[in-house]
Amino acid sequence: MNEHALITIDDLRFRYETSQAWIFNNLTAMISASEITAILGPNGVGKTTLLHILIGLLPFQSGLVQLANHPLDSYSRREMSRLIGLVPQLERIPFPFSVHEYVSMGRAPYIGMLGTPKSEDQRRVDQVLEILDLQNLRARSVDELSGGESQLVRIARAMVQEPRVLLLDEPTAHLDLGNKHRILEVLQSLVDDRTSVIFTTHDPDAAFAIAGQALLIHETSALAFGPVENVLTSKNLSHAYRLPVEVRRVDGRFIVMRKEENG
Amino acid sequence: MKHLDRRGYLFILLGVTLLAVFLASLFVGRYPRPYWMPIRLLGEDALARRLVLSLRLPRLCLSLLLGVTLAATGAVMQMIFRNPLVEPGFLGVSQGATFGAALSILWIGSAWSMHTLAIFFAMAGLFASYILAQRMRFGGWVLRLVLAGIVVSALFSAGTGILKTMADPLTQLPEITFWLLGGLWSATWEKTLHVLPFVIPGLTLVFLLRWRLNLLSLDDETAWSLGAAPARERSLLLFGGVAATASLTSVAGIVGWVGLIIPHLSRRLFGADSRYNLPGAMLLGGIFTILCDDIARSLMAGEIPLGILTSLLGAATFIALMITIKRKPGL
Repeated sequence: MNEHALITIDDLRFRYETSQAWIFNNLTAMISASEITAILGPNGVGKTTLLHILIGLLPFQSGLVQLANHPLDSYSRREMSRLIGLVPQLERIPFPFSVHEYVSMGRAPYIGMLGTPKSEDQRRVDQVLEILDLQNLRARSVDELSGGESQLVRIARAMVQEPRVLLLDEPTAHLDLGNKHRILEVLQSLVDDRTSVIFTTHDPDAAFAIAGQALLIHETSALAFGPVENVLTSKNLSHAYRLPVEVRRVDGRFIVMRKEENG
Repeated sequence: MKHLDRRGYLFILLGVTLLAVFLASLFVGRYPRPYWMPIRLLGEDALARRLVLSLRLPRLCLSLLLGVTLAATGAVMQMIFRNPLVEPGFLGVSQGATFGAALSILWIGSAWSMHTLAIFFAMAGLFASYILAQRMRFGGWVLRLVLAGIVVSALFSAGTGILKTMADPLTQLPEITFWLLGGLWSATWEKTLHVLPFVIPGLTLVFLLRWRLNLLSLDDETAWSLGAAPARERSLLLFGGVAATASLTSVAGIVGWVGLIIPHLSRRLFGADSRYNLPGAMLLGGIFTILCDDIARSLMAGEIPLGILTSLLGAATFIALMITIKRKPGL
């Protein structure tokens, strides 16, 4: 087994109980540690489902998924929550918690079921709010935040969890250019702090911007995985998205362009 | 010494108020004359002493437990159903208890059987809702439970309707109606002791898990990623709260609005974090219900059903809250 393997997925088969169609059929992939990994694929291919499988929320029909060289089901709920965190794409928070109260919930893996946050938990929360420059939002209600602020606050909640792996579902969707850049910067800084970051995106540009490796899902299995420039090639992307595209290198950066039919 | 914040002072204020209201209520009533009994009478009048110790005190204890339990369970349900409009009885509990009480009034008639049947059918309502929700093949956990609760309540309510048409309109029907309106006129020490095995564990569980409740109000995947087992933990809290509510409903009948309005009020005062607003709701629920019951038993020569007063005052408070304070989303 590869020592640097953070997550290995072998022959994963999964379908929802209510449906006959396989979401994943013999999906095999390997994600190595301490790098940013982008999971790409067309809408509805199961990117979010894959994240839910990785946190152990969805039991799968067959195959083996290992996190840090141990099968997912060998971890207790508490162990799992200290290892892997999740920032969902959308989150409905039904009550107007203050930003500080909400971010404190990220300390749950270190607080007993009957416990409440202690002063060291509060300190950690304040530290993270400071790192993300969110102290001025501390007392603000979570339902009064802008899209960019809200995404940062949710990332803060996952950061105080101190997981080894942080999963983010479409972290840059619906954000303007400035906020998108800000989020990508934060993700980069997480990796510098030895957290492995895995995010899904439908935007190859976001992947090129920060990811070192990529996993491209097509239909029910992995079309390719590995270093980002080997995975997100003109051929692979055209095939996955059913649209002729071309990946070009401009001033040392990759950009994805639609290929003109007669061009 | 730690500096007390606004919440700390509020807790002290509410705690002292509850204690004062409880003690003062021992002397509120219609003996020897309406509204107030001089405290010195306790030493002079043997009847006054008996009245206070074996009638008013158990009744006060029950109204305290009722208020605390309804408010706490209401807060728990609003959190785990992620909906500020649910109340403790909606999972078939209130309608189940009513059906059981009506059954007993019609065919057995003893106070004991009424208590037993009411609690039996209240729990049956909860279990039926729960099992039905598990069997449903669509929707999320919350939606399925809400739907199941509505359906089971409707079944019991139809059953109660049938029993009502069969009841003797001169003796049994008024009794059923009065039970439906809720009240503590039949409170005794025996009944108080009888509800304790349900209320103490239920409230303890809910109180201890008060911070965890915050987590359980989040989306399933978020709660799960933070180490919770949302379905299991929500069920545990649900059963704890509902068992306590069911036992009190079997004694007090349907007392509405406490479980709905008090958690809202508490959220206004303490914010959305259940660590603070759940204990806050418990204190407020106790104060509110004791005051309502004071009015119920002493305002007029005849007893006013408690459920009517809690609805009246609860709804009035709600209206006042709605138009005086800026509404915050989710509250």
